[in-house]
Amino acid sequence: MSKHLVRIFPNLAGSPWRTTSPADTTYNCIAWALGETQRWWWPDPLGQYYWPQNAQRESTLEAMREVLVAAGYMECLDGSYEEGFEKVAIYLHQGVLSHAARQIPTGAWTSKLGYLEDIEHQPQALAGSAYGDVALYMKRHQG
Amino acid sequence: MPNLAEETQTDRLQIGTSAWFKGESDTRVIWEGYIVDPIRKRFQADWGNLAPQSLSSTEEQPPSDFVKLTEEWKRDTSHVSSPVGIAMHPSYQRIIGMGEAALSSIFSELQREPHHWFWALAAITGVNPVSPEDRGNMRMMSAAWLKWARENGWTE
Repeated sequence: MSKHLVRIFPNLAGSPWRTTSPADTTYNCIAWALGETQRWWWPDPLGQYYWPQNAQRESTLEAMREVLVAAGYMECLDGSYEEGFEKVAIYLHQGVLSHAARQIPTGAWTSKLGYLEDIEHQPQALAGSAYGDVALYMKRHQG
Repeated sequence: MPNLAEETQTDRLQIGTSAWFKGESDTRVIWEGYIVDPIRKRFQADWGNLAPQSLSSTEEQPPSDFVKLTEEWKRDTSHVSSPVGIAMHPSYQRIIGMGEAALSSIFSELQREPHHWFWALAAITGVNPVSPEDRGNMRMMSAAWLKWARENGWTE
């Protein structure tokens, strides 16, 4: 078990989770949630990182929702597993976009943690002082 | 008599520490306050005393302050996805405050591994050699900066 992750996300200790990749500096949570491992996605104000061209370049829930709608997602009530759908969870920390996670067919969730590892986890296991809480769930038909 | 340079540095770091945990709209404003000359000049002066030859070769050991600040920065931001949150860390801001004296060490780090040095490099050099189609591609961004470093005499 990766103790360094439990120190950052203490709620991991209370639910099943596992590390699924080595640490990697080349992609982040939003890229991973959308199925990509080649770029670091973020609406940074300097415009150094990838963000869809016509989307708002702000670290807000609205900007993230806009990107997900363009990718075929629609809002849903919660993170319960629904056959035939792929869900994402968006986290806000003090009102600012902080993290994204993706549901996998087992019903568990997968996250890329900053420039650390990928893990499988329960959505609430990452809630806390690092990422805040889940503010939005969205889903799309599995391709 | 109070030491004005010390007070200025301390104030900035305190602002930075609180800003790092606040919203990005706030940190952006405070970020602009970080790059004022008094801090940069002070660190450039200290840096010069510690490592007067550090600009000439990437094979030299980076000064210990750079190593320490980099370790602190990576330790505290490894789980962070926002480049703003990553760059607002006080240790990262102190590296930016070193100015050009930090460039050789930053380029050595980039040669070893793609990492989030782009904000610091843009702040210190005032340029951005990354083409728009490579935004977010950490390997291509690193390659563009290393090419710029070679062309401008920072690395061989």
